[in-house]
This record gives sequence, structure tokens and C-alpha cells, in this order.
Amino acid sequence: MSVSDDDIRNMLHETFLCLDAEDYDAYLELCGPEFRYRITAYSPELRKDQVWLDHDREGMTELFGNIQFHVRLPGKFFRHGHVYRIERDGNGSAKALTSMVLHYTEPEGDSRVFALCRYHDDIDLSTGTPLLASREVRLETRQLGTGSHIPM
Amino acid sequence: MSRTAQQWMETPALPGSDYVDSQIYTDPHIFEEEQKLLKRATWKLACHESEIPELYDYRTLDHAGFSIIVTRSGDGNIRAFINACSHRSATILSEPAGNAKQWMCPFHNWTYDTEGNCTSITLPEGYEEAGVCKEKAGLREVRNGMKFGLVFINLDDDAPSFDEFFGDAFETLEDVMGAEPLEVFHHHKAMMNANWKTWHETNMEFYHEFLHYVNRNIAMSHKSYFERRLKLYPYGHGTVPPMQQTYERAGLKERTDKPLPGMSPSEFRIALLYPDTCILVRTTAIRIDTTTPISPNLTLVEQRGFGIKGEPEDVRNVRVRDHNQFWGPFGRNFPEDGNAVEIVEKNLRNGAAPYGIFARHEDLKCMDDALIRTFYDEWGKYMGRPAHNPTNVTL
Ligand code: FES
Ligand SMILES: [Fe+2]
Repeated sequence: MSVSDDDIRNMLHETFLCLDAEDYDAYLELCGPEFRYRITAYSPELRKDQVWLDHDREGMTELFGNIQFHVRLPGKFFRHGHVYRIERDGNGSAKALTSMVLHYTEPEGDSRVFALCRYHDDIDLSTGTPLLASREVRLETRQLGTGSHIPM
Repeated sequence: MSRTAQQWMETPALPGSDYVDSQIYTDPHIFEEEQKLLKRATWKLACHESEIPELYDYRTLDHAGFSIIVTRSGDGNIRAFINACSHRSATILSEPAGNAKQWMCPFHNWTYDTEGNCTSITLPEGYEEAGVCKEKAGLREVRNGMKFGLVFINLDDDAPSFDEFFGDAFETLEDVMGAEPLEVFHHHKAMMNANWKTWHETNMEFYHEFLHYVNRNIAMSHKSYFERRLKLYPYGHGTVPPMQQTYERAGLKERTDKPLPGMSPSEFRIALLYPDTCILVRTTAIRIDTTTPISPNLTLVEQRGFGIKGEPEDVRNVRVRDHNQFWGPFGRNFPEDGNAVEIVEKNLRNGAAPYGIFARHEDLKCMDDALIRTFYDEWGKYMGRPAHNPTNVTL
């Protein structure tokens, strides 16, 4: 069964919703077995690219499992993402580019923009169901306050 | 028993060195004086030389309210200047980093070289009558000193020399950071709703390891952890003896792979440099943080991660991965410390809590508050007032 662009877009939107809901099991179900997740940022101070997080599926599973033990930002994240581009390579995979705004809402209810970034996603289409094979979160915002235990 | 308002506000029944008045974190006048009397008179970490590897490379930063340029001048020497034009004070360089043989002030195009000489004044004839000339219009140079490639600056030309100020404070890191040239691979800034001293206190006391889920497991499971003795140095610096961690206790891999020179597997070292720089080494990676106070309750924390210059990519990747496990905006510890300082500030801001207690005396064992008491002892000397009673003072 062929996978449509809408299928891909829906899967990506689901990943946003799963992260918003902090439903990490459901998030990982949307990811392939070789899933790789990275957060990167360019530093104008160092004039170099930096990697701020780099995990395989096992590493992400462990990271998600530990969130409950951390003293973490007490509020919630809301993602507002727009999938700008889906490109297929004809070999059972596709690339997607999403522009993402993360909003953070304090427990008291006030919201602020937490980070601007782009998701550079690789998607595996070979099983007939789109699976997230890798995600690079390319941060535009580099000052993230106290930071976050929750991936972007 | 709970306390009444009066009891709550009472001066603690402790020696003055065992507590601080919360106004040191909130009072705008004290903040201004700290910038002038303390920050501008002490040695400040500006950058690492690997951030300016080539001739004519420069970095800019803010320090104690001043914009500063650090550059590798054409003659190979590292120099620092106040980033202010001799003409009418415009900021000359606005990028955080770059490379330029000449710096041109964007306002009226006066130019400077990387040794601080003014090299041209636009339409100089107009100044002939007044005697203003480029020979007398050099930039204000700022003293600098270097250790392990870390460039420190001091705005006070009369302050103690770099060597006198730091003395032996780097000794615990000599075999680790002095063996081979280092390179910064991580740099990030984080604006904290907190006073700069509250942030640095998290570096100076180990009592708060209870905050960190990971540290509770990997550090405190060792009896030797509690037995280590803090070492204090003149001018307010401190170190903590090396110790072993057990990462497995938090479900993490032991750090046996690619240790830095001098580091044994899962070893941890710490050096605290007065007034606001902390160096942490966890076997494979180095973190250094320093602060730029913006206002009494706003602080820019700047954090760097280091590896060895020119090391193979696979080795660097291990360092980056291990660095990010604890540090950086997505590390296990960094957000927890950030959270802690912000919940303190929330109560300090409006005077809800009048004092902070640093009264742990354990013969310099690691949860002794001695490093903080030393810090505030020095603070008192620079500020001409004790931290426990900072407003009742006649200067
Ligand atoms: S202020 Fe720099 S040239 Fe005038
Ligand atoms: Fe901490």
C-alpha cells in the first residue's frame, strides 16, 4: 500500500501531539527501530555547529523513563508545527521539514514562547506505515532559560 | 513549631559568617556596588583561546556592564579591550565572534587595529586645531591572563596579578587540563530569574546533590564521598578532592571509555574560581560555567564544554555525548539547578524570606558550607560590608 503525503503529515502531527501529551510510549510507536534523535544548534560564539542531544531509540527510551524522577519545569509544552516540505527519494523513504514553535505554559496559566526550531525528519515508508526514522531538531533559539528534561 | 512574623524576621542566632541577609540578592544599590567594587576588580573568565584560534580572531562579551573585545592580535598575543570607540563611545564590534585586521566604528568610521591602536580618524584635519589625533586615541586595554588556554580579564589595573589572585587554585586540574591544548565544543547561555550568587552557590555546596536524581544515586552511594575534605585558597577559591562516581546506580554507563588525561574511570573533579567560575570534570568531559549579572534577579549563565584539540571524531563524540548527559540545556542536572535558583529567587524578590543559612560545619568534609562562607568573607572585603548585615553600614 502506498503512503500518501497526508499519511506522512498525519504521522508527524501525531508525534507533536504525543510529545505535548508527554505520552512517550505512543511517541516511540511512531518511530522506527533504528530511530535517532538529535538536537543541534549553531553557535555564533564558536562559529561552529553543536550537538546538544544525540540518542538512539534505546537512549530515548531511557531518557523518557527518567523524566518522572527529575525536578523538572512544572508546566506544559505546546507545539505548533507546520510541515513545510515533504520530499520522497523513491527508495521507500522521505524527508520532511517542519517549522516548530514551542510554547511553555506555567502551572499558573501564563504562556510564553520557549523555543523556535525546525524538525528535519527522515521517514521510513517501506512497511506501508510511515515511521519516524530520525529527527534532528535544529534550534533557532539558543537561550532556553533553565533548560528542559523534555525533548523538543 | 512554626514562627510568628517577628520570629521569622529575627536575626538568626548564629555567627555572622553562618548566614547572609537576603538583601544581598535583591538590593539594586548592592548590585551596582558589586559590579563596580567586586566584578570589575576580580579576574573574570572571558573565553577560551580555542574560540580565537587564528590571528585577528575576536570574541566579544559583556562583563560587569561593559562590552569587551578579546582578540588574537596580529603579533600573536591575546589582548582585551573595552569595546567602546574613543570618539563618542559607540560599540565597535557587535558580532559575538569574527575575524578582522581592522575594526571600524560604524558611527563615524574611526578605525583601530587588533593591538588597540587607532589607525585612522575620518577627516583628521578638522581636529588639528584641537589637537585630537589618532596617536592619542587608542582603545582602553584590559589586563588579561591565561591558564589552560582559559582567558581571564580584569578591568582594574591595580588589582592583584593573575598569578597572585589564583595562586594554586588550579592545582587539582593541572594533569587534566594542562596536558594537552583544549578546545571548546559546547557553548550556551541561559537567562535565569535569579541572582548570580545564588547560581554560583549551587556550584559551591554539595548539600544540594539531594536535588539531583542522578547525583543522589551515583555520588552519595560512596562512603568516601562524605569523607572528602574541601580545600580553600586565598582570594576565595576552592577545590574538592577527586572522587569516584558509580553511574550504574542511576542506570547509566560507567565512564571507562576515552578518559581525559589524568582522569581515572568515573572520576570527578571540581575547582571553584572566585567569584563566579566553576570547573567540573567528569572523566571524559569538562564543563565550565560563569555568570554575567544583568540585574539583582536576572543572571546570564554561560556554560562551555571542552575536549582535547584535534582529537579524533569518535573520541570527540564520546565527550560531547557525556557532556550532554549532565550538562547543557538538555542535560540531567543543568535544568534542575536552574529550577532550584529560580524557586529561591521567587521568595527573595519581595522579602518573603530574610536570611539564607550556611551553617554546616563538618570539618571541611564535602557538605560543609565552608566554600560559601569563604566566598562571602571575600565578598565582604570587596564590598566593605558583611553579607549578613549589608545595609547597616557606614562607609
Ligand atoms: S563614535 Fe566611533 S567613530 Fe564616532
Ligand atoms: Fe547542581
